Formats: sequence, structure tokens, C-alpha cells
Amino acid sequence: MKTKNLFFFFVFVDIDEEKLKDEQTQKKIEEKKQISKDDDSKKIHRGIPKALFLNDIRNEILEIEDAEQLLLKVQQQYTKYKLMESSLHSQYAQIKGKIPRLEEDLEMIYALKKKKEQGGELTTQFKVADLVYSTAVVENFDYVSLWLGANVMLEYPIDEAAKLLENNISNAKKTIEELLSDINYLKDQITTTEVTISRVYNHSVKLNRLKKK
Amino acid sequence: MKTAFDKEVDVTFEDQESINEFGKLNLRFHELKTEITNYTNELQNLDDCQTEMILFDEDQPVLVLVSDSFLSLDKQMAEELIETKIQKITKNKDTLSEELNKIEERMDVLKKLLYAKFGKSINLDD
Repeated sequence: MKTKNLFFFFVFVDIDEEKLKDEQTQKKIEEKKQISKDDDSKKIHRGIPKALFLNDIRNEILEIEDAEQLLLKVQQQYTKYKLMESSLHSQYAQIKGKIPRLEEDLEMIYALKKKKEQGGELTTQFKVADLVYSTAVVENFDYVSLWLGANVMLEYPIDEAAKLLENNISNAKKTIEELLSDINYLKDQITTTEVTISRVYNHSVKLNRLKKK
Repeated sequence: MKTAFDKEVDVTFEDQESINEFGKLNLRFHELKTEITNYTNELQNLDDCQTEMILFDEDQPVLVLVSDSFLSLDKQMAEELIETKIQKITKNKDTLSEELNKIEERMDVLKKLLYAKFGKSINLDD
């Protein structure tokens, strides 16, 4: 799956805003930090933590040190999210890649069933190795063997085999749906964090200018 | 230093949600595009198969590659097999195209909304 990043760059030039500094707002910062800690411990969507969103950055972060500290924390979180994203995406690609294979198998079973209805025998060139094929004549269409993994192959009546494969495909599709919902949730957290990083950075630039003034 | 966009606009929670939604749609948009292209190529191949098979003799068996094996089928059955495949892929492709259209519409709405608020300080095109 391709990831396209959105780019955010906020430019703040206004610097004539009054610098408010009292105990109350200081308390608010403490509270905010507490809330973000609580959010970290909530486990939904495979335990992916919810991203920190700052409602009112101008009144919440008043000190340059706070901004820098927060920026560091958010950037660390961003790296973690990116790691989770690549792991989820590889899981997604793996399962998604299995589906066409299963569908091919099913297609073969349907073809055999059709041939069975038609009667007669089926000549086939089957793969022995890459680029090496040998000829076989199939006379019995009632049973097929399915490779179950772990060095086990089991013979199934053809209808049962079709059912099993159909089941496997629908299960794989369900897993894909679940993974997609997790990927979407994670994508939300990543976007939020990207925006937060640029907001905090721009805010820290602004605070820096205020300080120098 | 004053620029054309020196108005200070902060991101509200609603803005963040719109940005997130756009991000998700953008992700899905690109995935759908690749999948639709794949289906289109597959359909093109199957269409070529059909065209080629017209030239075959009626009683000449056709070797059709299913999974890893070639099946020797009579012409009529081979045609049926390919026809079923075409129908299935066309159906899948149509479903995806429909989703793609809906996503494009929603992305346009969000784009207008977000550009109106953030102007040049946000980039939603790739």
C-alpha cells in the first residue's frame, strides 16, 4: 500500500500577542500533560495510543522550554507511529497477496467441477518445476487434495474443498477489513501528530521571537 | 517580515478531523487507483485471449493456464471460463470505480473547506 504524506507548513509572523503568564494557565499545562498520559494507557485498535491534540496552543504553551520539550515528545511518538504503520502495512500486504492465490485455487476447482459435469477425462500439463511441465490425465474429479500447510495434504470431496476455500477467502477478506480499520485509525493518529509537530514548532519559533524582543 | 499569509490561523479539533479524513481518503484513493489499473490490465489480457481464440478451429483443444497447470479444454469450455473471469473482474472493477468516485467527491469538498481556512499554509495536492 502506498503512503502519501500530506505536508503541513504553518507560517506565523504575528508577534504582537500579549504574553499571558499566571498560575492558572500553568496549571492547565499540567492538566494537559496528565490527560495525554491517561490517553497513552488506553488500549484500542491493537493498543495504538491516541495522538495528542492541542486545542489551544497559544494559551497552553507559554514557555519556550515547554514547547521544546513537547516537540521532542511528539517527535518520539511520531517515530513510534511510523514503525507501527510499516508493520501493519506489511501484514496487510501479506494477507492481501494470499487472496489471489486462493482465488486461483478456487478457479481450478470450479474448472474441474465443470469438466466433471461435461464428462470425459481431462488432459493437463502440470508444473513440475519452474519451466518444466509434464502431462497427466485426470479421470477422477470427485476428490481433490488440499495442501493444509505444516507438511500435510488432505483429500477432500470436491464440493467440500470448494467450500473450504471459499471460507478461507472470506476469512482473509474479514482480516483485511479489520486491518484496514486499524490502519485507518493509525493514519488518523499519524496525521494528527504531523500537524501537532508543525504547530508546536511554529509556536516555539514564535515564542523565541517574543523572548528576544 | 510580512507575507501574504501572515494571519494567524490555529487548528481546531474539527479542522484536525477534516485533515485526518482527507489523509485517510487520500491513502485509499491511491490504493484504489493501483487496483483499478491492475484490473484494467487483466481485462485487456483476457480480451486479447478472446480475440485470438476466434481464429481457432472449433474442434481444436485449447490449453488454458489455470493456477500452475495448463488444462486442455475444448474451445467452448475455454471460452466460458474466460467469459466468467471477465464478468467477475468487471464487477470488481465497477465496485472499486464507484468507491473511487465517491472518494474523489468527498476529497474535493474537504479540499475546498481546508484551503478556504488555511490557504497556502496547507498542501493537499501531491
